[in-house]
Amino acid sequence: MDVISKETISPQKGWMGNVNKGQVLRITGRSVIDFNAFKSDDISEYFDTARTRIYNLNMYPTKGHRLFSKQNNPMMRFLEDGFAGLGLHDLQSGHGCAEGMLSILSNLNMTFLDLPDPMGLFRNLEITQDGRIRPKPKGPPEPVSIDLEAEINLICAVMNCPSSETSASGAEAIITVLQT
Amino acid sequence: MRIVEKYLAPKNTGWATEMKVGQVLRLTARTIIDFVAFDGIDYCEAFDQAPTKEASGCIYLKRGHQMLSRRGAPLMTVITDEFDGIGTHDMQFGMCGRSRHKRAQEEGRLGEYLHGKNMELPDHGCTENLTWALEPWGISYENIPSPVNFFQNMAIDQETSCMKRTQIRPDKPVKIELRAERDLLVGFSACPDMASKTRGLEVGATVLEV
Repeated sequence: MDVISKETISPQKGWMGNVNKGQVLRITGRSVIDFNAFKSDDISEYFDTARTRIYNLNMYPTKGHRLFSKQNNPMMRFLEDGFAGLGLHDLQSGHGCAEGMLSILSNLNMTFLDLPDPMGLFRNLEITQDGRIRPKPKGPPEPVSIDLEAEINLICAVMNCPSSETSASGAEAIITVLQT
Repeated sequence: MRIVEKYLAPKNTGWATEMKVGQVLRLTARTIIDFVAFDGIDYCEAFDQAPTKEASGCIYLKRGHQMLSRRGAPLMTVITDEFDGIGTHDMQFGMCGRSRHKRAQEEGRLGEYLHGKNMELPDHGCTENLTWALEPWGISYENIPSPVNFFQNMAIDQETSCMKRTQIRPDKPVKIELRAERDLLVGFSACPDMASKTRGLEVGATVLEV
């Protein structure tokens, strides 16, 4: 795969960019990274956590799953998950740093109330049989990558969350866009 | 308690109404209800599953829990839950509806999704019911949040994290009561509930002044 772009993102910083159909977004890190995606030509169609859970009939996103929009259309394929076996990505929580994400998305004229709930990569939490959510702030010991392939033209955004007591955060992240 | 408003929503229809702070909404049913709430002035300040779950530390909505808005403001508090001990109220699923059913059909999985053989594509579901119910307030589909699904009992496989719909519902209509923590617009759909044995029933809604 050819590298189209590659950027290192420090904690409390983020990235927004186009990921066109067939291209792969590789997110490499070891601490909590919030992720949102929007359809390029109509940002009122956006990645939705509830739709994604129900299509995959699974609580946590991982390799083999697809990300879906609120309008029930497939957006991305989860091709690789280097966190599998080490921990779980999160589809339950809100933004760890909503202000940061909004500043990344400032070109899209989005307000806090328009900001969809994110996928929390490397957030790692446990959900008990009786439904209790237990944060388990433990990222991978070394940076690992996840690969997401765009099924339509997308604007993707990631926020590398600042360090916090309740999540393993505060490490650098690398965002790579690849052409397959 | 004085009855302010009372409505019986037939199967696979929706309803919406405004509520004042302190009023109580009583929902009486034994079928799935897709339920949403909005701040009474700013409809963008809508119910949000994520902050609700973060605040309670629980993926289910239970008695004593609050439904929170995007900004984390309390919208409603669950004060009565007669489903407690029988099953759980869901905050994982979204809404059924035409585009969801169409996708299932394209995938050749409509029968699986609707729990039957040779199923026809339904013309509407909760998405449409809620969209139509909220239309008078100018709220479009994109701005209707993923709901609380009352009586949508779900089993989670702890090994695989897979979610499975169950047929556990109340045998007789039971009550859920929600107190408005601010002036609100609330709306719901009496879900066609194709996963259940009844395949949808009516939902009773009563707004009470305490």
